[in-house]
Amino acid sequence: VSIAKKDLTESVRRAGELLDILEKQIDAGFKDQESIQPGDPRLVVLHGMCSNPKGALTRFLTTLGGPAVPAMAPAGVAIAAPATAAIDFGASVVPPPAAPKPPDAGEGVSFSFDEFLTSVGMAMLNAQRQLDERSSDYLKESQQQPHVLPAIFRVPKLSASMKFAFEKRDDKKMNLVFYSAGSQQSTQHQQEIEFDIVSAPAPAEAMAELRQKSPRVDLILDPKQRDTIIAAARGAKLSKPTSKLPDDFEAGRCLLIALSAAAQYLMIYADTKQDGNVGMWRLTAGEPDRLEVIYRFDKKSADAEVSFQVLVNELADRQRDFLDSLRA
Amino acid sequence: VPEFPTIAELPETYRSLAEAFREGGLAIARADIPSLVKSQLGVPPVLLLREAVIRTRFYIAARADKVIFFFVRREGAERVVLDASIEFRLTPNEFTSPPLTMLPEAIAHSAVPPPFLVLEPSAADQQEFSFALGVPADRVLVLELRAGTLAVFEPESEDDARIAWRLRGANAFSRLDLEPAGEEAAEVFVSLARTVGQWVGRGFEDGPEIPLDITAVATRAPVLHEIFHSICDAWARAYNEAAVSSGEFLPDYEVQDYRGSVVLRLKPDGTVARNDDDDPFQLLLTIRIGTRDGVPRSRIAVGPPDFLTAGALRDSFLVALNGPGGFDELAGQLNIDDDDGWLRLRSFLLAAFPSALVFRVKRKTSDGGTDRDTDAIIYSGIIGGREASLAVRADFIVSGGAAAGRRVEYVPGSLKVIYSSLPVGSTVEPKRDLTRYGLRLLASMENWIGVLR
Repeated sequence: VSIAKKDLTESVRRAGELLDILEKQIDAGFKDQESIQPGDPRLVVLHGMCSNPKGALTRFLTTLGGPAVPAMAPAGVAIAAPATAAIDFGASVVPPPAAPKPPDAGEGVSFSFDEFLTSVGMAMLNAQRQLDERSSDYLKESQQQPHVLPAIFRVPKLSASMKFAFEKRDDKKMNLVFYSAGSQQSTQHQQEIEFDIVSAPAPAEAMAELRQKSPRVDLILDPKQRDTIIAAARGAKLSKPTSKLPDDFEAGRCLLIALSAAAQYLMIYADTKQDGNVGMWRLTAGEPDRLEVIYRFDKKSADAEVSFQVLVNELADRQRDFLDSLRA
Repeated sequence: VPEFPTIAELPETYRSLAEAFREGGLAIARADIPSLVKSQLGVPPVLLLREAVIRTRFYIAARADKVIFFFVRREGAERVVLDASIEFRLTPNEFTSPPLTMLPEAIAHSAVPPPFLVLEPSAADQQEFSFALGVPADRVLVLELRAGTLAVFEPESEDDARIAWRLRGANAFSRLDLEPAGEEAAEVFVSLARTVGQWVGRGFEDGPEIPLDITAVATRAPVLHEIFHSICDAWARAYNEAAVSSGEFLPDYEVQDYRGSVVLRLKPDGTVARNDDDDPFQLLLTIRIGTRDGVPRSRIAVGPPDFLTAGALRDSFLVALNGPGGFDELAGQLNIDDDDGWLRLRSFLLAAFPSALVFRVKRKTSDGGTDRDTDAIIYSGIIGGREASLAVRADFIVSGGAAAGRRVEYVPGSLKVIYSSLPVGSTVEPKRDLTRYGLRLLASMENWIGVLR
């Protein structure tokens, strides 16, 4: 398959159209589904269509002038749910002009090899993102319908095969050149590449590295360490009278974060009864322990503070449940 | 005259391809990282560049002072001397330990000689064929063919070449005349063609291998050695580059199924032909390189690329030749002019069609992707209850790209029967074309075995 840059762009656009058709098919299936009761054989039809949209793809490819879609990618290729879609770009990037075009003078379009691979990869990625959005909608809609299988849709594999010419760059690397004129193509497109881009589970090491590198705040969850810090806070010397902890302070719901300075901790606590009561303190452990208020718990504040209170309470509830599970 | 890179710069091209593959793969993986971060799934899928097969074709020309290469044929550029290719697969591989850096000098080379070449004939055989040919045994090439054993002396010289033949089951070698060649010599060359056809049909790159001292190639064929070294170096650099770790988001990659090939166009004396006027004989040299037990190894094989034993292209030649015009010419040259003779000839051709051999004996100047070739076609089969052979020579116009899609047209009036033992029509004594091609093939093998020795 030989493509010029404009054709590649066009192919990406058409891949998007391809997915639009797939979405419309799925939408049509959803509409049908509203009238379907559990056990209705049409459910099978719907699922079959999702997992094998060959008819729509074939029709679409026919309009492109390309060959029919080959067999579906084998099951087990990084498919997160039973429904899959396979798009073989090797078939679909054929750039048949809809209307006769004037003959090209034979100017080639040049890509670096890595740039070219990346472009094709991005096309697949964009297609997948469209599918992800639709999957999300589908999951939301299917939550209310217990007889519908929850599913997400993945493009499991992209296979490409193309011919091109080589052109040497100044830095001695090779560029891939695609000619669109017939004679140039036949005489100069003598190099060939086939490649697969697959949707595969992320490597465990990659996930671990990602988690390690991603910014986050760790709450102190060790019960013993927490008990020590809370006890210190309760008996600490207050910087001001208003620095004291609330009377009905519930230790298990206080968020504790170690600060970068040694023996210093951030304490965040929110009221569950009265809107707007949320406080923040800094505890410095030492002789004596010192508790300083950063934000007063009972300070009258704007309504916006309630949002922060809600966030703290959500975290606090989950933390309390977690700590309870450790004690159990 | 455009400045072309020297063959020494070829390996860097393949290193840069492997590097670009890794960088492209990394860019794709990185672009998908945001989906990992926001995913609520345990181990979300990401896009990975899994595998690539790269097939490259280039041209090599020898100038007075250096060997150059280029990827695109251009008008007015160097006259093409050698067609070459390199193909390989980049595929994920989990190295159990950091991969070693490969050096071309560390490759253990081996060769795959044709299985019918007798590299070490017995002392008794040496004595026999030496006596029959009247030359020292160490200057004789010996081949074990289907029908018997062939001993050849100086096949590169049409005037001085001598052959001796021992039919399977017979006791002694007997020398056969080549000027002119008789029916027995013709049948020996038909047997040679059939044996070579079987070998090519099975894949001449496969078979038992023997160690190869590459320094012998450097001594005997320095230009070939320079090309050979570049192809090995290209493997090493691509291998080393592919194995560079790209971090946790990409697997390590390995170069596999690496195969370089060069179509050698050789003059009768074994030197490289400069143009078509040198009447070049083509041999395909292939080099496959990989690692086994951590050791880089190569397998080198040489075979005739213009030898068609099956497939669409061979069938195209046969169909083109046996159209109404070609068949009439054939029947005319065999002096067959009655219905019975026509019927018997056509029946023989149809029966011999599946095993017929087609090989190019002369290539004429290519013009815009169209070749005018002279090909020999050998039919063997049973007719009238006995084995018989028919060999013809004819010109064809071959156009188009890939082998399966090439168009083949017979050039009317070019057919010539070069040998016929059919019991229908006239018997045709073997013409020089048959023996010439056979001797050229034998001379090429002799050069090849000279390198192996």
